[in-house]
Amino acid sequence: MHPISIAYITAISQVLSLSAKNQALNRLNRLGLHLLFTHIPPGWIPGPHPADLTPAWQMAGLPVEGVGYSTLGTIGEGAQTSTASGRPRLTIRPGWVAT
Amino acid sequence: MEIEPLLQAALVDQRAWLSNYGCREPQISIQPGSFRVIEETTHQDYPAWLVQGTLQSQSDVGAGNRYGNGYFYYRTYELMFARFGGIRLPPLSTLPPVWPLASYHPLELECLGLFVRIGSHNHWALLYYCGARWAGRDYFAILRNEALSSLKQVRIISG
Repeated sequence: MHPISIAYITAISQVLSLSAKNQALNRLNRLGLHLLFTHIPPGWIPGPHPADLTPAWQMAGLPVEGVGYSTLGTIGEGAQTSTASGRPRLTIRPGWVAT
Repeated sequence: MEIEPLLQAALVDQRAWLSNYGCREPQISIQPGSFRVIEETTHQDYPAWLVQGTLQSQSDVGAGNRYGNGYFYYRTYELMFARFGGIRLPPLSTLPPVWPLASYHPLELECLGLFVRIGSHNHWALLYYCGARWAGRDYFAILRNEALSSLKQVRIISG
């Protein structure tokens, strides 16, 4: 793919991601609750990303409102990996739930 | 404490995760009878339950352990999380293929969760970690203690 196309996709995706993150933060403010990850083991990816899961829960028929944090932690064969490297991942996905 | 209703929320989470990775028919189910409370405890003075059990699902990293043998439906995490925000993106598979799409490999997810009840019966923090068993390795067993330590140090902040 052409470098300009990659830069374009990256820029668009960052804008979309920011929008999704703002939506999640608004939801957390509405619930009045937040999570703070005080201990991330060495080698884990320190990148919990809040996502508003309320639409997904409601589409599934669950009367649930909340936010999920994905994803935290990736270790394979004792070495840090990423999703792109295609190794099994360990995750912590905390979510706020209000029914 | 009833685990089942809370697990349903977790199942939707995993289904959304796979779906946002481009899996068209995400599979996720509870291994019958596997989930159980292994400890009643407290977390920041909130009542909490440590639970463990097994989910049957699929890997989001493809059938192989190498990038070229797997798939990466969305090029970046940002695009994937944009889908969580309800933004519908065209499937990249409609574009000229850059990487071959592989099947979503079935696997077992061993889960360790700390379910924390905040204030009322209807307010929960679900902290959970999943480790895959596949390719002859039990990643859950390798990192269980590390994950448990990490779980117990998540701080819940009100306001």
